[in-house]
Amino acid sequence: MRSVLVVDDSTTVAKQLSKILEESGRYKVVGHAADGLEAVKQFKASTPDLVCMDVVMPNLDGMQALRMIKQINGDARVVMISSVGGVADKVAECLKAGAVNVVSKPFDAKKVLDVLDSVK
Amino acid sequence: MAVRFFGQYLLENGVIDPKQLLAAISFQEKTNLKFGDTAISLGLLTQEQLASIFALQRTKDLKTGEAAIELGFLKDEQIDQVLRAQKNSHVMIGEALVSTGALGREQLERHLAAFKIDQEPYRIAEGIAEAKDPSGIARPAADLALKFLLRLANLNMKLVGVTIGPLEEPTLDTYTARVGFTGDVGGEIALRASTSICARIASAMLGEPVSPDNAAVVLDATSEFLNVVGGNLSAAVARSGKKLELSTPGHGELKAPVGGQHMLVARFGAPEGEIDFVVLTGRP
Repeated sequence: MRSVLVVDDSTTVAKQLSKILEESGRYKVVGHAADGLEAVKQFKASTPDLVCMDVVMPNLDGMQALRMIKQINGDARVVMISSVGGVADKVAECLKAGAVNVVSKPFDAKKVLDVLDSVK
Repeated sequence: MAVRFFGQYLLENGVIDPKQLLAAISFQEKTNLKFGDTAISLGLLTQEQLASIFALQRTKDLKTGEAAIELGFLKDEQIDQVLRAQKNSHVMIGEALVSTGALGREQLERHLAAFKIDQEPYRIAEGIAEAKDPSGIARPAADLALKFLLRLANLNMKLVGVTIGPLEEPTLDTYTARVGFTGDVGGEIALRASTSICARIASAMLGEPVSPDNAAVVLDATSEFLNVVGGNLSAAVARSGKKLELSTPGHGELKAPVGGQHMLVARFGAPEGEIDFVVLTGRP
């Protein structure tokens, strides 16, 4: 079972994602961070197999947190899950910073699991 | 189930990988000239004039064309000429993926057809008169809000009225979710509805019953709903070249618009109740 850190300032999204991941039986959610600063802290502490992270967040946004996580571990697998996932510039920025994929909100269970399952 | 750009649609569906998409984007960046470079290639500007334009842009919030006009380097018809040239030579992401070897021509046609079907539900419908929407933001915003109310909250609402100006005082207990944006247009979108309608949105988002009295949960879910509308709005307007940067969602009563601001209130109605969807644009 792969461990996942869920990062989103919305508790609604954190609950939605956790439910999808846990019910699949393939993923275990090891933490929920509500902003980028907390995400970096939790990433260091729990070293999850995967990170699912929002882009627009308070304190430290997802792009900055992604860069910091990749500095800590260049092999970190981060999937950005964001309502701005349909904006070409944002997608390019995420991929250049090292995200392995970008999922648009609103998402459904199949899409999230298909993308995470494809991450090697 | 969202407004996407074609490259991300292919990535999300596993057709291409991040490296292939980045290579295609890099190809586009090299091939698709910016306004200033296009004007130089057409012989309408010199390198020195472009440097003066950049210098002006450091002190004034102007697009390159606007700065060129202000400095007397270009006239309106020359701006149109540059924009036409840019449009005619623009390489779309699909073509860039073919050029960089990520996709074959037949694959491109097949996936483009599937992408068009995927995005068909997000075509902007008529509803709000263009004259009431000077920024061009309110029409797509209201249209997307109605579509996501149906898809995410199973609320089949209709546009029942459009007013310009401040919100009326509510007659019921309400919650107001808000998402601000900056960029080519500044402002915010907001959703104000009775606590019971917002609880219905929250219940649908979370897949479990949520009481209207549970303000924290209802507001978080309603704000997230509005965040989804805002994100998809930024993707939709990006197709026509407008850039919107979203702020983190929040909540709280909206103030009346002040000088320079334009507030459009689209009222959505259904048997379950009404929603006031607000688009505020312009700087005070």
